[in-house]
Amino acid sequence: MKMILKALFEMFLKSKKELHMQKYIAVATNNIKKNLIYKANSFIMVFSVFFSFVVLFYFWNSIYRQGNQLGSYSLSEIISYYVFMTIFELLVVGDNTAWSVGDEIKNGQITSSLLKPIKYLEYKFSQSVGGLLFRLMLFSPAILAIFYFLRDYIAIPKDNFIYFIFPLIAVISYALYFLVYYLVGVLSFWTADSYGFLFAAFVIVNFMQGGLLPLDLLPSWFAVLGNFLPFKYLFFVPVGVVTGRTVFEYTFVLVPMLWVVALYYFAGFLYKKGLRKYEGYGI
Amino acid sequence: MKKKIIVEVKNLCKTYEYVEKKPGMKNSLRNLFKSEKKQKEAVKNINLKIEEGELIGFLGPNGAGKTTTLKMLSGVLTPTSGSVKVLGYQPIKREKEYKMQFAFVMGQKSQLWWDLPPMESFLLNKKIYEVTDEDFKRNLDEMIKLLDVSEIVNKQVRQLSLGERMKCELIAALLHNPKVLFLDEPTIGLDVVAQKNIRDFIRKYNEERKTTIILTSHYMEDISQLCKRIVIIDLGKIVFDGQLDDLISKYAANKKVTIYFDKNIAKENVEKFGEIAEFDGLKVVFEIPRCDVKTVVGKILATDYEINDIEIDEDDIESIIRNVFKK
Repeated sequence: MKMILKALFEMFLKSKKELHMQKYIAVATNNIKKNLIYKANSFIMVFSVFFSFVVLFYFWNSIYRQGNQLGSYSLSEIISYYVFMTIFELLVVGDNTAWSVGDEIKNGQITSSLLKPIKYLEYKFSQSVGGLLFRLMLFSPAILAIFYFLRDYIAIPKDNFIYFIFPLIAVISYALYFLVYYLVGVLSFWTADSYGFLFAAFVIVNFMQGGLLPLDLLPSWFAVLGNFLPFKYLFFVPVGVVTGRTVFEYTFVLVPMLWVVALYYFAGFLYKKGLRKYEGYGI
Repeated sequence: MKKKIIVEVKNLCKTYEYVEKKPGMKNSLRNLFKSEKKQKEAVKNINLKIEEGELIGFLGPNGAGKTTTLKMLSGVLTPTSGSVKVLGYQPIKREKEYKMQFAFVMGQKSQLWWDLPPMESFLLNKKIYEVTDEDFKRNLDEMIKLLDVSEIVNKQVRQLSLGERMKCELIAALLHNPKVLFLDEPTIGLDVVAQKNIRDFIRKYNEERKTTIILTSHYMEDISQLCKRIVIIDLGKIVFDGQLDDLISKYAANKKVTIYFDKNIAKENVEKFGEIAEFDGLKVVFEIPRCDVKTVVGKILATDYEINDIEIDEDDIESIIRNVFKK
């Protein structure tokens, strides 16, 4: 009898959990559908991202052919870096969490999320994942094409362990990326001119994650500073691992994970504080 | 049988803080360093009890505190002082159990996904509110029929008219069969026909499901057609709380008595019966205190003027409400 009760109780717990998950899956799929309506947007994005990649490709090629070199980067390494940057821009940078959180705060739409039996951060994360899945579907052929055409340039890791650990690193990086931009969005509770602020935040974070230049080309004080911040784990570290330029260390998983936990709680705290302030002025 | 109390509000107050910004460059610069915080009391000491199944109307001009009150009832805003209990919950705790049992429809804000057909938002709400397949189908079919929207549920929300969108907002909010429904200006900006559709739906829904509905509006029509009990709010205070009939008898002191004559008649002849509001020889309109109507009409009938017809009307509600606010 006790056994049956226990089994029933566990089933009950599981069904509760599943219902909970289903909510967020539904949010994610709705976001995919929404993106499908604006597919033209995505194609325009692909075009601009590819255009800048082609320019960079010829730019580095001609520099290296003249015998110059960028720091300790070989041509293959620098091309690989920018290939992964292109993929990163296609899949992740298209995420608009900061903008949409900021928008919802500014126009008061956040009120309707407050009324629903759903958690705001999780709700936004599901939307973000929906967008990511959509871009993954849409852009995979293009990404595979890049790998095919540039197969002679791209550095491929020889250690099989990397193939195993990289997906984990990528997932953690994505969660961290989401949290950073979610936080930027939540700061709209305090900033009057939220677009200017969002734009500035985007430029700074992009630079700090290695979105313009590989971070190891920058002065050493910058590396010291970067060690105290989460940003390099968004792009620079994962790319170093997958291209084999950096030797994998367990801290590459552990540190960003700790950042994820810390930012998750910080985001919750900031959101609560923000709501308090928001209410004071009337929603 | 005594009905369950659904909403209980005691000494509820809400004060907003705002920064005053005077015009001009000098003042703008001064604001950078020193901002003057001012306080505005949006809701002052409101007491309210609402029973199960009531359809109650909050009426008042813009900025009277209607929406602020609804927001405190639904847990969006924290009260500055006082207590709120809805269905036994303290709304501001924002507990899931409470959220599953109410719905809030705002005329000015949308919960539908703008770029998708309403159906997608319905399906999402089904998941969010954990509605079973059978309940979902039954509720949805019923409401689609009542609101006559079968044609539009698969059209993008941005392509819908305001009236169509409002109907879909209602459906989205009611799929989980809430026990309490807050409606904030549900008919704002709608044309007369759409207003009537929405009103009919709300009335029917309240009758059939016994859902407690709290509605705000500044359209008199909404309130007088839907609600038995009305609460008039002005400057954050309740100035009237009671039945519509009581409001009329309390604030509509006079009735309009219109008498049509067969032949032209001189004004002097009828002046003695009461205060004349309108006169044109064949028709005379009196403003007569309610309690005197019977005797006055009796007196007029007793004369030998040839009377064609008599009409006795209430003051229209708009003017009654104006009376309330004047006091």
